[in-house]
Amino acid sequence: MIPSQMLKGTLEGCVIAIISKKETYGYEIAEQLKDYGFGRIAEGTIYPLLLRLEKNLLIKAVYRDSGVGPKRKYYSLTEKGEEELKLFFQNYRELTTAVNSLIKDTGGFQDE
Amino acid sequence: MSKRTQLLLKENNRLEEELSADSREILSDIVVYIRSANISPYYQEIVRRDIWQMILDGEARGVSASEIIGEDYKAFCDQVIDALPKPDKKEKLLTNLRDALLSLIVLLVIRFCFQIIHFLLFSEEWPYFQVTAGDVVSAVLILLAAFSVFTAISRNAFNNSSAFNKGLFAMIFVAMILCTCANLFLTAPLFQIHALAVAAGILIFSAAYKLLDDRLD
Repeated sequence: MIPSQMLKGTLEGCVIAIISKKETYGYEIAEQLKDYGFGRIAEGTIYPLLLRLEKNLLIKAVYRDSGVGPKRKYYSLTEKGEEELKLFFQNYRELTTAVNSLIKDTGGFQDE
Repeated sequence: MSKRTQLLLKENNRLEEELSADSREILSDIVVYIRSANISPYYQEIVRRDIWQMILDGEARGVSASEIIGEDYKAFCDQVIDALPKPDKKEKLLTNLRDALLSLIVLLVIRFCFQIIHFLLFSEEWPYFQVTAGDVVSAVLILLAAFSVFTAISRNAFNNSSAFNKGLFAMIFVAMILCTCANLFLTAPLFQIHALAVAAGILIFSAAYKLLDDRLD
């Protein structure tokens, strides 16, 4: 399981990436994160993040009929969000390059 | 409160009935907590609806509210509050003014009613109201106590300890004693005001309150 401190710096970018695939909602985002191997992340962790992204105009929200019960809040990426996503991928590539270089230099993973 | 906030509030009150009793209690605690946060009533209701939606969806899947939100409701609320837009200085000032006006109107109406009863019983100095130092001090104390009690209850929405409840009752009790003492001992008259002026003041403050409330979210 990925430690929460390690996840903190990347979760926002990962959520933006998931939203970039298609318009989606909170629970679906949590399920997709689980499918990608991030482990079980509560909707309560994702919701404040979505509010922040919306406040910063990186995503926009609309209410749509859910088919079951009341209208559900769906999120989609804005142009600013797309730029932010590119920046996230760029920064993350730099980070993985640096960390991989360090791992290689220090002997790699113990079980390799 | 703006029209959009009023409609949202009405809808949220209706929708909350659809939750289970346990979930309703949790949502209620969350709403009480965010009521004293530095966010507009509109965003408070938006958050209320969103959380209600999450919990209701979760109930349909057989998942409890604590599994959806997490165990630490206070931390969740703090993160949500932090993520929402804050009112600017002007809006904050107008909101405080609106709330102060409402408190003042309530106090004036109560005072007006008691003064009318006093006139009818003792027929003294009609139609002038005498305002003493004790009246002013107790009014200020009542306003401070009301604000403190509201904030204490809101900030401790997730705290069910008996120590907190005792502290709250003590605060209210002390405020009542101080107000009573102020009215008993600070009897020096400050000024007199005509009953019609008081009535006009209530109407003017009410109009100002309505004007502000309709503008603010």
